[in-house]
Amino acid sequence: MTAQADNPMEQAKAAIKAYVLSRGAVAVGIIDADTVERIAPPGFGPKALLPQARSVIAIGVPGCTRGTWRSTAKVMTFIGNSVGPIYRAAFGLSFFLEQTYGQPSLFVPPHIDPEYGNRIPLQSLKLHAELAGIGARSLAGDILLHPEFGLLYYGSVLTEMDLPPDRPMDSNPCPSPACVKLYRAEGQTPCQKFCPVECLSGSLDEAGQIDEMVCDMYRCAEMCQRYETMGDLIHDGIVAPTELDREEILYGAEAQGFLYRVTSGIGATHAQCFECMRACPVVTGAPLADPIRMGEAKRKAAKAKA
Amino acid sequence: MPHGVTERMIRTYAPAIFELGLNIQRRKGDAVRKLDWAAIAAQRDGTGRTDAEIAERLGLAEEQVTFIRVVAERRVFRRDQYRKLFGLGAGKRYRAGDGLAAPGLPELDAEAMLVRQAMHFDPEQVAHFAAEGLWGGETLEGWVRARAKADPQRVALKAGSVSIDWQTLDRRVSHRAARLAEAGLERGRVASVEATAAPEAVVAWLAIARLGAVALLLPPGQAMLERRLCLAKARPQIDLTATPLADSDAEPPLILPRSGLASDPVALLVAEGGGEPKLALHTHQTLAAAARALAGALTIGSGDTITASGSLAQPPALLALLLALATGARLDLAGDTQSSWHLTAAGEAGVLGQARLVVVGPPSFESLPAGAIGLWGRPEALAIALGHPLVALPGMTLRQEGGVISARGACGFAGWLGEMPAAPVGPADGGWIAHG
Ligand code: SF4
Ligand code: SF4
Repeated sequence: MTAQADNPMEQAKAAIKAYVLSRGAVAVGIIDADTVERIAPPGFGPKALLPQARSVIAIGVPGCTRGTWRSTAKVMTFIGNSVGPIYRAAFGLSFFLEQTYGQPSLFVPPHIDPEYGNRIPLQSLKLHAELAGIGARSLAGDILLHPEFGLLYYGSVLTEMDLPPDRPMDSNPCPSPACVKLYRAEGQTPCQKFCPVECLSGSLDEAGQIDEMVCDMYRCAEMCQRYETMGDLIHDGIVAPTELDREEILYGAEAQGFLYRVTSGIGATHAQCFECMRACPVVTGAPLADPIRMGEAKRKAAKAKA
Repeated sequence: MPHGVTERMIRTYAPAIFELGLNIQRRKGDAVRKLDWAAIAAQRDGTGRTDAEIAERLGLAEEQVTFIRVVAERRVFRRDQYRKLFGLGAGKRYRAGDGLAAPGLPELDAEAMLVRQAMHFDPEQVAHFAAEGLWGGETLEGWVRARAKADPQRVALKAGSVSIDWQTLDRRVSHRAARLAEAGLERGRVASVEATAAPEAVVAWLAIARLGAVALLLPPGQAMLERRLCLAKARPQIDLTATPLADSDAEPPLILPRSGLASDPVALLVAEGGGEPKLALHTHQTLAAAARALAGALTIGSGDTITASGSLAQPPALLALLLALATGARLDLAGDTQSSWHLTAAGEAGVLGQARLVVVGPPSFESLPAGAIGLWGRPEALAIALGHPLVALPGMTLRQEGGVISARGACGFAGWLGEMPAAPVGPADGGWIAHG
């Protein structure tokens, strides 16, 4: 037996990995809470939620099927995100850790901090995942990309266990060679070019690496979050010039579509726009980007083994 | 005022707070992944400050910053952007300059809304028209477009020695529509036309229709006072009666805005009857229903030639034009010399031969000249019934009460354009139009 296998925390790490993979995740990484604290804005590190937190476990679940990527943006607004599987894997993991190791653990709510309105998250799950080595920041508004899986959805669990940490990725799959080529020819990468609200800009350096990423997040929020919509509808309804205008604003298709999302819950109210990701060669071309590719890889591996 | 914040404070601090928060994110290089601590620290502003940090920097309270930030974020938030997603995906990607991928109908201004407010149909009748296929999606200018595509070289209009084929007519209509759009004519607004039986007047009306606007068709030779009253009621955005119309066969100079819908108003006809002239409003649907009903009853087809005389503002010539558009028959504009129009069977279809179709009201049918066919038509319903005894045209119903014959149906008018501001005066009594 190796020294590593003797280490109970290494064994726990392996068990954690096995657990989340069995619950639908494809990537898992760990970072110590202190490192996250060093980078997160004051008051938004792991210890703000779990004061004795020692480790942050980041997990990634896969994005969409290939059919979903090929579908309309309307369809993607409903099923493009993978919030459900994240709950299943990460929430379950917090129970697994407490039950198996007797250590306080917390599923990080992937939600806003209610003290500050609707634009400030409780934690940056992106920061956790990046430091834990399961994603790297892209030019598409810092959405994390994974070289094998493309676009993943991330969730985090905080724990008082002192788990052996991982490291951030050695390299960044963004920009892909095809993106560098397009940037050199047109001055824009695919994600920048096809964003419907033109909120992405930035530059590549001589070596074809990210020089600067700029994201007008407030514009992306008009597509992905739309949390101001409710107040806006009510306000416009109040100041509507005529009764018919008021009816259209408060009860028209836009209002009904929005309220349907709000009341139908999971999977429909955030992360509704995928146009930058649809155009991204890493997202659609990564070796295990979708279930078709995953299935092919699995069958190939099984054949090789046989 | 929340947290002691004034509107002026919001205006003063909002830009700084908006920029310092998460709204605009800037990142140099790949500092976090590389754990480059100096670079991470150097770009903290770019990745977004907390409200507490911003408060400290600006000397405000944290609640004040939160309040100002949230208000500023709401004020720049655009709800309409989301519509772009409705047109994307499944092979279609956004391109810069596309504007909204799925643009809605252009907004109608207050003047256009006054015209629409005059529209008034009986809801039960409308359900019946839709169920029976008496009303559909046909538009006058859509007919021209379709004929230009299907039969471009065929003669559409003839006036003296001048013949205009469907393709040329379509191009002239687009050209004039583009010029009217440049001149400022908007969807739903009125443009007045001197409705002579001449190709230029036909082109002008169809161009107005192509823009989704409404033509006030004014009879030439109309008394000055009556014309003034008509113009005062309709308040045209553009008055073409004062402008000599010259058409062009050149390619239209600009992309046309979205054209009118079948349910949109498209014509205002002057109904005289003593006192102030009244303006009867028609939609594409009421006019199309009249043309279809009459074409069916007279079995007019694309092989026929229809000769029209008089003003396009009057039922005879107007019906002749509509019949030609609906069937593809050739329209010969014979100037202002005759008071009625007749059909010439030039092909297999026409049953009237050289018979004249005279547009009159019911009591006058008995006095029709030999060989003439009487049509009951009025500005409010161009084609009601044929012959003596009266036979209602398809889609129309007749009623006789106390010696008064009334009619209603799919060719009926939308309503009177009332005094300005337009009173929503519609056909009374369930859409019945009394004779008289
Ligand atoms: S999610 Fe949509 S709005 Fe946001 S950056 Fe990507 S393409 Fe633009
Ligand atoms: S398209 Fe994808 S890989 Fe290319 S620059 Fe954008 S995010 Fe990076």
